[in-house]
Amino acid sequence: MDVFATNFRTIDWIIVSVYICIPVVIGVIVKKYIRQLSDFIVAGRSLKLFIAIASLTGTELGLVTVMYNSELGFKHGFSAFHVGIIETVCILAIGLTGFIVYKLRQLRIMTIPEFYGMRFGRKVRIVGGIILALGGILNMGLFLQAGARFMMGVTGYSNPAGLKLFMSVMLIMVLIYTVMGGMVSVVLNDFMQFIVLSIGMLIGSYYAITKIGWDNLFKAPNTVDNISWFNPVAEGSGFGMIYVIFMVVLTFSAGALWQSGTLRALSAKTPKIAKQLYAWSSISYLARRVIPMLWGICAFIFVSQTPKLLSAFQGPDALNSQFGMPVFIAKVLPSGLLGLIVAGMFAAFMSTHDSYLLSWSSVITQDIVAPIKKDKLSDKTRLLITRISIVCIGLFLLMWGLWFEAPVSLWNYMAVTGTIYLAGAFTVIVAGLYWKKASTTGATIALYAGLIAILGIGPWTRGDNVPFYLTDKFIGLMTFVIAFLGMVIGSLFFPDKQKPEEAEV
Amino acid sequence: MNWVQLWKFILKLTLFGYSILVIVVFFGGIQNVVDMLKDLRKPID
Repeated sequence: MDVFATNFRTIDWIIVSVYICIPVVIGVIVKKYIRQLSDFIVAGRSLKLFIAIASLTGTELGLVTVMYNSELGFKHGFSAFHVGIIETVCILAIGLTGFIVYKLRQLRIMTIPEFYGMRFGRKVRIVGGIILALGGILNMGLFLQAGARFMMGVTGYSNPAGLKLFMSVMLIMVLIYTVMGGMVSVVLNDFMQFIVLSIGMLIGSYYAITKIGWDNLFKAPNTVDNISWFNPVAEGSGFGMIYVIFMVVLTFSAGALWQSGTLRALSAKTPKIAKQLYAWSSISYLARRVIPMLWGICAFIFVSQTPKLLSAFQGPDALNSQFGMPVFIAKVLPSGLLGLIVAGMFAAFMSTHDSYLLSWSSVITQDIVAPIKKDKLSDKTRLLITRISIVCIGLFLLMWGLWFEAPVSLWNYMAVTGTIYLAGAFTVIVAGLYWKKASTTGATIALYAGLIAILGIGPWTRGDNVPFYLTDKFIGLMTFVIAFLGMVIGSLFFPDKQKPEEAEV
Repeated sequence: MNWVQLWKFILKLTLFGYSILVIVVFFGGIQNVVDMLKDLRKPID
């Protein structure tokens, strides 16, 4: 069997091509609803529960999410499911208690660093804004590359120039409708994409399970260790206890404070809806992990039963494991349905890009440019800067993600770049909201401590016999610990003598 | 409960729970979209 043999036919190309034009049409139509900055960034804070759930899911269930989760399933089997369980419990806990998100929505802010400014002053807001934008934009860096791999695996199309052109066209379409319709456009597209992608994922799961067989699904393939395939803390699983603890800290902080997700809570009509949004969305968070992992597991079982495919994924010239899932669905899903699912995946690609573009451009405008200008910018100017930032980030992504090959694995890269921002942000927000002694110095140290996470993608983290203290998971976990200690020690030894400059709470 | 039973349960829960969520969000979301667009048409204070 040819590795890139596929059921993707002309009808599937037509479905995908028509589908990816729809968001642009929506962007044009809703442009008339954008009259002020808050309409653009937080949809006038008018989101009710169900549309907010669809939008949050649309944002957090991107093509890259599907790719790295299916890769985890492909490489580690059911033991990868633990990440989904941890994340779901964390999101549910945030939803039930309203921890962080309820108070942030009450404050009527539009970005996370806006809170830094209210609590710790203008300088902390600018530092926080720069670190957030840095971590966030770098975090998007491999999205286009993952998208191109998915497209190649599922369509069998492998012309590098054509792939780059297709991904570039999709990004440009996202830029057009996001620049025009802002959050209103993003939310409407997220809703449509949530429905299409979800139905595609559920039907796709049915086909995947049917192909492998329910009972066979829970038998470890002969090529892997039976225990580590199911047990995440077993030796050889690729995870272990340090990883599990890192995932608890990372997914809890990301759940509450990842700007693109939190933006949905800040866009909610009331603080109560913001809280409910998280409780309901815990199901989506479970699905966004477990369903792609299931596909990855099915893909590995399928590959291990097909000698020619198995040999393609083994040896010195082995295919990247990200190809496992797309190669599998290209062979088991019928034409037509395959087009629908691929359209859904590209929808996921677009819905993640639009929200991330809006998030990081909002931060650049609101938390870097505006505070530097001492808030003497009109709403119209801010809107213009936000739109220009969206285009600039888009251009950066084209250069970084598509034309340069990143030297590290997808999940490693995502976790580390996310930690750059999250380690400091989580500490600063929690301390700022719930600890009266939290000081400006403590907040600044905590934010800068996040930069330590970048050590987690250094060359010393690679290889088979890396000491535990040099692994990416240990460095990631320690970044959170150091940020926390920095906040506590900085606040106790350097308390604020007076209310920080421009602080409002 | 062993690992296999746990993952079987989680997989069933995910597929069932997500199916219900999609149906609920679909019908509830359409009404929410109409309401949101109405809100955005209101005059700015």
